[in-house]
Amino acid sequence: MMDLITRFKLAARNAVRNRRRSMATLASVVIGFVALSLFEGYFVSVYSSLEDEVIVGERLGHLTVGKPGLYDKGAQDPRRYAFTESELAKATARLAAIPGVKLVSPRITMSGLVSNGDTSRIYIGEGMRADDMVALRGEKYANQPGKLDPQRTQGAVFGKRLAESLGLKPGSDATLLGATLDGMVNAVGIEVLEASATGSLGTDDKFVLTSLETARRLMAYEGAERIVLLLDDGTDLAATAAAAKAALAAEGIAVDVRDWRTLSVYYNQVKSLFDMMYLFISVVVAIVVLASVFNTMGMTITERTREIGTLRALGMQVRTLDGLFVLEGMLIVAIGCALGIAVTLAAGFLINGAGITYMPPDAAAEVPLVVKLVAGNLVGSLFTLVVLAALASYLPARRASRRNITGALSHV
Amino acid sequence: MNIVELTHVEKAYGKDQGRVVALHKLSLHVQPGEFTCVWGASGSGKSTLLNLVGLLDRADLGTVRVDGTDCATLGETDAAQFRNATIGFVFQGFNLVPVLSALENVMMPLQIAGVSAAEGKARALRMLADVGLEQQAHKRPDEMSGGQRQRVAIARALVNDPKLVLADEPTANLDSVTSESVIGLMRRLNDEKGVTFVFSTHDARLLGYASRRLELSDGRIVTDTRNPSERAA
Repeated sequence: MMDLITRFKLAARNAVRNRRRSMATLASVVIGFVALSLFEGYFVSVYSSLEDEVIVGERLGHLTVGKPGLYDKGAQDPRRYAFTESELAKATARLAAIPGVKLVSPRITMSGLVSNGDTSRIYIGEGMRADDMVALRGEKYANQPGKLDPQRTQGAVFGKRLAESLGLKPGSDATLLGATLDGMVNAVGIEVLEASATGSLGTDDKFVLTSLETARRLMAYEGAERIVLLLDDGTDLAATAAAAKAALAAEGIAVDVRDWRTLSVYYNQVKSLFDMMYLFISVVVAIVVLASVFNTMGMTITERTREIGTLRALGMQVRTLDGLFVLEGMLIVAIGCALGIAVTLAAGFLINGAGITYMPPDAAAEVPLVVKLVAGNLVGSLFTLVVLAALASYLPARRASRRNITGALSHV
Repeated sequence: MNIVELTHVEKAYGKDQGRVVALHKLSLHVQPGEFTCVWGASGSGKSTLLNLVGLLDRADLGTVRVDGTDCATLGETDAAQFRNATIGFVFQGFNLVPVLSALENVMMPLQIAGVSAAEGKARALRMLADVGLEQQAHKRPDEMSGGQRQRVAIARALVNDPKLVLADEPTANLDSVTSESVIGLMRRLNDEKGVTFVFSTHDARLLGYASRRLELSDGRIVTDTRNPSERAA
């Protein structure tokens, strides 16, 4: 059995035997790898931004605890599916004790009309504790616009277009009208803290964020519709969700726990679109690399038919020959991918430093174009392309190495 | 025991009307240590005979035994191992691997056999010295003359200490002086190492080196003569 060093030496020397052809293959691998990796890096950045946007920007946290049936029937019978004050107190204590839970944040959803005294618009809104918002944002997003003020419980943040349509500015007074939990019409006065773009055209002309106290006054209710949990680490949501369910079951409170990915329709739509685009690009790159390696190795193997016959005459096993050609194809692609990694890192650095911005669909503001390169993904792409190269090399090698020896030796 | 034993061997190529019989019920015994020359015109069956003896091809009929082993009983894997261990090959076109140096080419059969690199290198260097090419060990085939390349090929054929070396027209691509020098080298190694050589040629000038001459015509042995006046290496 030929040793590994000899195999590598033979594969490496044969790889550079026809430099022009190998360079053409290398170029196609490098271009394909760079294109794939930059797209992947961009998608990772988009996913990461979307995750932050959903967890922090949409204030969904990692997990949302609600009564079973809340999302289907809560609007028809809100009291039945809300937590009472005592339930909320027990649930808060239990949930806060679960390891890894960083924040327990009760929420109330409301809707109705918002008026400036002269004219009204419909709104959808949410009530949350101002302190919870500070905790949810952390240091990273502490200074982002759209903050509630713990000192001003009547304060509210308006969607920018909603505030503009009502002519409201920071410091303006407005009135929220809505139904209490029992269905009675109610109204509360609020003060505009800030007009801030929600990031979505669909909600920017309707959204109002108030303190939990204001929402409770409007709804005439001291409990909460749902409880949002922020975790130290959002990697094992299922385990924490199960722990939350079990903890509340021990208090006799049946709950349904959903994670942010399930609740955010926007995230799922964007991610599935990008996943499909990534799959399409990956398939195109894979086909280019496969065809390129197949063509190169096919020509190489045909040219070396007599050499194949000679090695077999000397006693080399067919599988060893197959392995030599597969190794050669893998080596070319591995070198191409290594060069591709270097080019990708350089291109990513340049793109991230160029300060390019763009307007995504349904966005209210431009966002920076960022390529987030992940070592694991680069290595994964390299591994995938090298495996494909092995396949593309094996097929022509298999055909040649099983050829009749005398026929191979007399090949011209 | 005969090193090569062919009994009523028949081999044909093609089908139906295009069928050409290359060997007609050919029987042959070669004893260990012989320096046998198979000669005849082009198409007489020389290469077919060597291919069958070298386990590079299979007979349609009859038995081919090499070193006591019936070649028909060996599968592809076993046949490859058998070739590696028992038979050395010298080809008309040298057939050296162009990306390997002379030394690495000679080491190849040892590497295939799983001999360690260090031992393989030492044995290959000794073999290159035997063929007078120790100074050319690190040259690649394209940096060597035709005669030197064929000497490397001979070293490669012998490095694994085979019992039999088959050389199909080893001088066909060489000039007359180099041809005689190459055959002379093979003869010397035959004498020194006792390895059996069977080579084919259509060059009558080289017949004098052979201890035995087999003349083939239309797939049949027409003369089989021992040469009492063979030339020394």
